[in-house]
Amino acid sequence: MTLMPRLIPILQIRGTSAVKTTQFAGARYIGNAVNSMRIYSELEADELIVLDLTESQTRFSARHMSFLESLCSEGFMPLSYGGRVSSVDRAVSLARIGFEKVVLGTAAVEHPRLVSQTASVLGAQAVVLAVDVVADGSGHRVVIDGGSRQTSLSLAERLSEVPADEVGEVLVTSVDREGLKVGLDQRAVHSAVSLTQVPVVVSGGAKSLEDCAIALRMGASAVAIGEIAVSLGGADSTLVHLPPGFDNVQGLVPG
Amino acid sequence: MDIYVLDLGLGNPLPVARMIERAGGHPRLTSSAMDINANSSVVIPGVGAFDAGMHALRDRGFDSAIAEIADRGTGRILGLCLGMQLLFDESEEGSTPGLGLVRGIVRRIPTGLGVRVPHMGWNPVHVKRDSRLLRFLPPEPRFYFAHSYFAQPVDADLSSLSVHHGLDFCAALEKGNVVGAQFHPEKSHRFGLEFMRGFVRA
Repeated sequence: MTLMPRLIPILQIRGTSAVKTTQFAGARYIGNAVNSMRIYSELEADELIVLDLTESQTRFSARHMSFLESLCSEGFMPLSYGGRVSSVDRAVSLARIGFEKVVLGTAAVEHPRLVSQTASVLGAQAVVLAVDVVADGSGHRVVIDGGSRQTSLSLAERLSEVPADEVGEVLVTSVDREGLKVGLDQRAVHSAVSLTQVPVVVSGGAKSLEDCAIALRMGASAVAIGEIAVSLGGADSTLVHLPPGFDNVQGLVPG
Repeated sequence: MDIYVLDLGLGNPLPVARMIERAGGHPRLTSSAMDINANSSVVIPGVGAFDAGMHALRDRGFDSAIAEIADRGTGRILGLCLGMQLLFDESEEGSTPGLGLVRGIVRRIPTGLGVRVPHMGWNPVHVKRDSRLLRFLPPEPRFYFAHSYFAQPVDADLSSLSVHHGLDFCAALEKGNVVGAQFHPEKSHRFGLEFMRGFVRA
């Protein structure tokens, strides 16, 4: 009996609504965020990542924090929060209201010490390093600000910058595939798995359970899913769910 | 019966309190040792690093209160994740001594065993011995783990659940009125619920 591979639904939110983006743009309304959380928890999702797309004016308000707290109260699995977290104080506040892990992405690129500072307060297992990428020739380029800005960093360079004992896991998202169900970027999966020693969560474009299983067999510890946890195929068909067979991902991935 | 969930200023005690409530218990949050006595039952939640956790316990007077409960009280103690590690003598993660209620040292999960550290995710546990604490667990129990250090009691018989991640180590221990769980029952769906029910309905 060993550690099980994980499928992690991503709950993108804007205000109190659950939304879904495509290449991190064009958020479409899915439903009520609290209802979505409740459903994923009742389905016994392994864990869940909240990506907060709420506009910055509201995102830090007391009312929104109160809403986030009530959102957390509906999830009986580990919850992560990502959304322009750029200070240790903010990370601590989020931990206090119920997020087990805080995702650091753009801010971690812009403030190189943010990761270690956050880890020293919350513990490394509470820190998720998000690395958003787009395919670039034979490699991958790191993008920030929800994919709107390119950096000069490659995926390999970014992953080599972060000490293994300062993060709990790395979340690599292929922004160019996000929301499109074209399949995960297997080259990105391969690079991430071979370039870091901590658990790797991959995301962006997952199109089926088997697609996820391929990434897991390649050594990813988890796949974070978006589109296949909110749509059933047709453009009008929105249903918050987990892909049938999700609770037997273990069976698709030889131990 | 009231179960006091210690608020150490690290992480969030609310999920633990909610799980206790779901399991039929009456949780109360406290950040002061004045709220409890030797007959109180307490839960030490666990987030963060060893030294920070011990300092947080000490600053609030919980270390002596917990020692009193373990020593001669009718209350019970449940340490979760870091909270279980704090029950031990010391940890490789820090320099502060632990509570010393369970003999043993907390060590870092070694590299070179073909597994990634931290131990992060759902892992099935092996029931080493039956106990009242575990009597409600569904078949094939599994729990969510998130840690880089593990605590192994010197007395192996104290371990009632074990887990494998590169090596076998203790997932839950029971020593008299002291219980420890390396996993997060408050974040382990129905498995965590039934584990908590076992503690609540001792």
